[in-house]
Amino acid sequence: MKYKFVLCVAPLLSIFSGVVIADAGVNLKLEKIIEVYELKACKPPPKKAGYEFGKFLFNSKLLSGDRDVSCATCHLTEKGLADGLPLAVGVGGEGESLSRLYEGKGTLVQRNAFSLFGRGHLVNTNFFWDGKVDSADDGRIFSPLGNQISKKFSSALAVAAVLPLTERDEFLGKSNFFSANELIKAAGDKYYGERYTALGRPLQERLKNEAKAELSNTSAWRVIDSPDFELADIGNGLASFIKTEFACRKSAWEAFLAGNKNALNAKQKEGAILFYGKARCATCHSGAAFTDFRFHSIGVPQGEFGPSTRRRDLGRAQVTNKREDMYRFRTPPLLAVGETSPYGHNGIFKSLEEVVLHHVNPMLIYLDDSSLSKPQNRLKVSKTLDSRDPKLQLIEIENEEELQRLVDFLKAL
Amino acid sequence: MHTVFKVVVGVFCALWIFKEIALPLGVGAWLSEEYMRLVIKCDSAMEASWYGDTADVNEKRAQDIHLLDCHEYDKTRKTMLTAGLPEVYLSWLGLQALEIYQRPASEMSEQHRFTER
Repeated sequence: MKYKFVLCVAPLLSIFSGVVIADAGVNLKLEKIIEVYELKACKPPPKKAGYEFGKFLFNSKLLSGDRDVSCATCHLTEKGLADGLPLAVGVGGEGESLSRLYEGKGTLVQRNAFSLFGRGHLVNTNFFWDGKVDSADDGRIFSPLGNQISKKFSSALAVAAVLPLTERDEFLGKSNFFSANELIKAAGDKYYGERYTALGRPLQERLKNEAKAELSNTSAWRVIDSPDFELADIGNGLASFIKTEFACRKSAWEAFLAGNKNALNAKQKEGAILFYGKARCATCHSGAAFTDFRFHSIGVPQGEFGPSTRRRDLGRAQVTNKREDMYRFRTPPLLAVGETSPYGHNGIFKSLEEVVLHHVNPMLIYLDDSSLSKPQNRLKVSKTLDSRDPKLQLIEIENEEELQRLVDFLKAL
Repeated sequence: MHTVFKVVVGVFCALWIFKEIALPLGVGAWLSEEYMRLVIKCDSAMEASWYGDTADVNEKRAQDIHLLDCHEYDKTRKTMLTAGLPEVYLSWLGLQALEIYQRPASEMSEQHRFTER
């Protein structure tokens, strides 16, 4: 009887000890990852002046020429602060997310909307897919608004926050031959720098007339009522709100970094080891916000629309005019990435699996998407593929299971 | 005395058989496949770190984490050697895993032979 008991228990003990040893190995590797990459749990900053004003502005459609768009229109909480669309739909659109496409009345913004998690708090260096708002080490801020005007801004985030307000597609409104709203009239035919100056007064008037009931008893009213009011005040308010409200994301990965070792399941832990190790993801998706703030190409196919001429999207070259920057885009931060599909600067990747796979096999999307094989496209494929970053050669994803583990981890961010 | 001697010899023989035959065979059966898998993983990590750019801080970090696979390879190798498996056997497993052993011509020709007509 005793022998039978030993014979039964021994294999179970052996299997159990194997599992325990394997788990210890995984946890040891994760500890090394935290040590090597100097990872820390996110600490939210305290609320500062301008938070309440920024909160109001973020949700207010008063900032758009036709009173039909607010920041919250394209940065939805249930979509990881993105909008769930391949390309954002700006002025003229109705509803939220997909319904803005179905109605077909809105204007395409021609790039995929970003999540706002970590902006200002973790992501400070540059903003937008092509880094058109960029800050130098000496504090100077570069943007289409011009260096002189930007001096009143409190941060690069504040500049980034008002830039959409100066764009016809995003906020200014639809221009009509017979009628146009006061913001279009003031700034519609001007260059960026002039738009900045031109928009200050009409927006101040709007806020004074239409937001008095909500803001007259707050500190924001002093800003709105000031004779020195300008667009930078709106930017500083929005930046204050974004920086505080979306500073840290409550995720399984954050809980893990904060010390809860069971916050990630076994598959997500395996994915984390791949992400920071042989899959080389953290070579570019590094730091607390999972971006190196640099510009790389993974050979994303050109879509049907783009902000450059002939419906193309030249990426960083739009800003620098340098050949080597063609088709490069800022490494996207990955906070909440599981909720922000579709992916890529033009939203061409429908799922996380697709976009991760594209890093190691850029041919599949050309084979799967018949529109990319059309005569007008099939002779242009090498332009984007040849721009791929050589770093991508070092990625090691050996089988479908490893690919899935990576996706499991990404969903924990 | 005779019985004690027999018991001692018996126990000694049993232990000797366990240590020299059963343990190496058992550990070999248990860990050989895992060892071959780790040989491939470590080879991949060493190759990637050789070709990778060590001046790039994040690439260097990724290399460090990737090379932890070689630490697991080392541990498994030591376990197998301690259990009495000969080094020659482990070398053979390594060559099999990396597929850099001498290949007979039959490996290429066999698949082209008619098996029925």
